[in-house]
Amino acid sequence: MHDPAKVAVVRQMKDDFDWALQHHTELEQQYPGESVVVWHQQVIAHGTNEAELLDQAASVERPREQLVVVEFPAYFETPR
Amino acid sequence: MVLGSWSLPISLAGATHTASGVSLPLLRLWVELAFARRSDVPLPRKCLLDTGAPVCVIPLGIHAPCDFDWQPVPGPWPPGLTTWMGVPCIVGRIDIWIPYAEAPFLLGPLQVIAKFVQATPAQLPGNIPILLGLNFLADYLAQTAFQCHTLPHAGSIVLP
Repeated sequence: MHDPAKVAVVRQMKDDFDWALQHHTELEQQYPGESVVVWHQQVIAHGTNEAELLDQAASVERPREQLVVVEFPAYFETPR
Repeated sequence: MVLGSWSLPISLAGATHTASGVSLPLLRLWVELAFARRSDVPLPRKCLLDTGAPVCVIPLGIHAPCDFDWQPVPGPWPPGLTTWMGVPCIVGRIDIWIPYAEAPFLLGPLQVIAKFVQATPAQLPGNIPILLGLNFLADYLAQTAFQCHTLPHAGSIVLP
């Protein structure tokens, strides 16, 4: 991937993702069992349905494809 | 980054619940990967490192709205690989990248085989993340080491 525009998008998404991971503990306490949408290092939407969240958070200024989602799932043991 | 190999950090997240004088750590191991999409640049996601999962699982609620670019892998597959939590799955392949600190910020692609879930199970406890199963570690001869007592840096997956 050498397109500077795409690299810039990747970097912005990485920055948002890193911000969410750096604040993982606080966000997990604030949004247990939910997912959050992060844009420019801010939570702009939260809920449990990712498709609805992306629809709600996207706008002309915030392209849906550039939104970062981080989930804080409820504690469960994955059944086998 | 180890010369000649790729290293994926494993993060430890969670909290300790205390009741009746008993402390119970509620922790999870997470790995950050970026997944190929049809419409745009790869999407970074945190994946639950699930050592009880033989195969990676990508829930419908993630791969559909995020337009993951995956391709089915023809079978036949045993029944356990074409269902998850009672709903149908398709065994598929997708390109993934490892996020990296310097431009172009992604290393890869690698390929991973996963169950792409085709419906949302009724009994699930809310939003389920991508499960990173043991097939990924086996396919890439990965050396994996982690600890579960000190947050947030738990260990790493080294791909030789």
